Amino acid sequence: MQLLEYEGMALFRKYRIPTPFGLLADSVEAVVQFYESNGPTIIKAQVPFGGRGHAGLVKIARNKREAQKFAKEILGSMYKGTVVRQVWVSIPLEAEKEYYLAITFEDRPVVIFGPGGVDVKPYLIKKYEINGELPEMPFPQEIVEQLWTLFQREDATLAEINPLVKTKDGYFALDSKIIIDDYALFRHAVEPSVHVAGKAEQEAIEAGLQYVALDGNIGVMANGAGLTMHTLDCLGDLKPANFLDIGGGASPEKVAKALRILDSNPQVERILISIFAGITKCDEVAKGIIDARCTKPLFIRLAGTNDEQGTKLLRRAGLDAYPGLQQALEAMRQTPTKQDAVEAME
Amino acid sequence: MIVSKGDRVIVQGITGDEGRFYTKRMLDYGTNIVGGVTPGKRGCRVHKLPVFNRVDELEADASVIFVPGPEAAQAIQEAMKAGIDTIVVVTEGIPLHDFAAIDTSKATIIGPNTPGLINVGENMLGLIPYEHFKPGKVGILSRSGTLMYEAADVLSKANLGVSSAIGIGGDPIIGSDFFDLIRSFEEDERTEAVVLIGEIGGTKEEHLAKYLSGFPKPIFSYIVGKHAPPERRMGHAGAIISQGQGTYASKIESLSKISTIVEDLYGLPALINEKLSGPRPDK
Repeated sequence: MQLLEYEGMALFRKYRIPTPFGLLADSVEAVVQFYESNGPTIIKAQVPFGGRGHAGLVKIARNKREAQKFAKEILGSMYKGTVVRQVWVSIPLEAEKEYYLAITFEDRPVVIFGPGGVDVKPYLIKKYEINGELPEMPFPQEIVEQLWTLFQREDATLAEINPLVKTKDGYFALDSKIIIDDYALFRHAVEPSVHVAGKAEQEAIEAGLQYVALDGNIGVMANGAGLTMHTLDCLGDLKPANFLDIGGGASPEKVAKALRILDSNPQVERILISIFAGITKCDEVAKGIIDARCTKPLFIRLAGTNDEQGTKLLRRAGLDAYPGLQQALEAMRQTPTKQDAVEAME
Repeated sequence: MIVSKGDRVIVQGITGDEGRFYTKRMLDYGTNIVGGVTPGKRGCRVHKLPVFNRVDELEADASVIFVPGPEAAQAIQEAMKAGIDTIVVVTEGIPLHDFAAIDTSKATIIGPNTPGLINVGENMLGLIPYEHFKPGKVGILSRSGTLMYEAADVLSKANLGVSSAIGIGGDPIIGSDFFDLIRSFEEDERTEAVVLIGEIGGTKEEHLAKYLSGFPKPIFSYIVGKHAPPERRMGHAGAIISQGQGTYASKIESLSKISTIVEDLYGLPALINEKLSGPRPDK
């Protein structure tokens, strides 16, 4: 789960990594007040995505009029399906040098560093495996040592500072990108659903589903990331509306929630459910499918643990289940869609 | 193969719902389970098997771990300390830092986040739906659990069957890689061909292609994720670490050097049969 910038900055302060003075603001008045107290102000939208600069979501206000104007433009604007509700306001610094510094995992923890800023060139960045000792840095060693402590104690899978700047007043982290291991959230006080865009994505996160919206009209649901990707790859010329992995051992409630997300998507015309159950149980999946009361045509493949029981339950509810994915796909291709019906009438 | 027919197996987390359910499935398949471990439950029986508090109260060759994520790394360490040679970690949800801290050289660790392994007709460790695995000549090594079942189903329906299958695990850091495990198929007499099931992300496939040489049996690689949305979260760090690897194209390029690339999983049996029946005589 990726932290918002201000949350990352708070962690930097907790681990004594220097950051410029700044505050979280959620109103134009608060931004203007910051300007009036501190002078020229950098205003940064707090959204869980990169590319803010290019989207006009990072601005420097050099007078009161600009502070008002930029705050009005940024707060309340839409970016990648999210409304910008908060901005980070801070004092802009003059950088003499800019560095890129990050700690992440390969098979073991690695530290990567080099010249930083807006355009990071991967071929200039050095990578070192962390085996007890941290390599010598071109900036104060405490910074990487503290980042390493943060990385371990906060269960980060990525802790990135870009840029880390050298100024006449010392070194400062001007931005933060921290991703916390989803598997470790239980031991940290963070709310996952706050950090994603879009209603469907929020519902999916809350339900423990892996969901990514795509452009097509076939809703796809499967168990296991590999099987889900395989199902998408098997669609051929048909276009998926989404990737949705219900994971292993899904309960009927989870399955119903997943299906409702697909059913309520106006883009979706048909839904393909691709289940090969190991730890998952087909009868549980069947119960969830029945409870969801989908309005759109379903094409269901059930195989694996309790597949006979699951198929029986579905048949009793008037739904068909196929033992093979190709059969379910074939059935889906044979079923005319609204578009086909319209074309047939013309 | 890793874990031979008569090897003694224990189940850690045996008294939990999953542990209980899959212990029965493993027993039904003929796995030689000698007991289980759940701290505080010594004296209980699960499917007539004795339960103990600690792994070192038992003697065994392998362990299957169904312990929940927050405690699973500890369970692995305990099994290693007790001298268990092979540890199959079914658990999904082990914090990365916890698993990364384990010295994986002290035992063969399969997983985490794996459905386990099956030596068809001999034993099954984990939760693999064995009804879909007919005995046969093809070995499977897979990152994906459910896609492993699909491949086994395809091979079984085509009467090629499966010799053994191992889920190497879906987590970013795992105990044993493709490279570590493929050699066991080399030695296994039943196996005539090996199917690798990989996916976009990470460099496990590229690593295998780079370091594997002289493997005497034909390998077939099926890679999914061609149409999946690319992983963008890691940004600069991702680009730096991966250096162009991890994409579908990168995996196909590297694996095509050591294996036949499978475009359509349902065409796999035809590809294998063609390869195994040898070169056609010249006309």
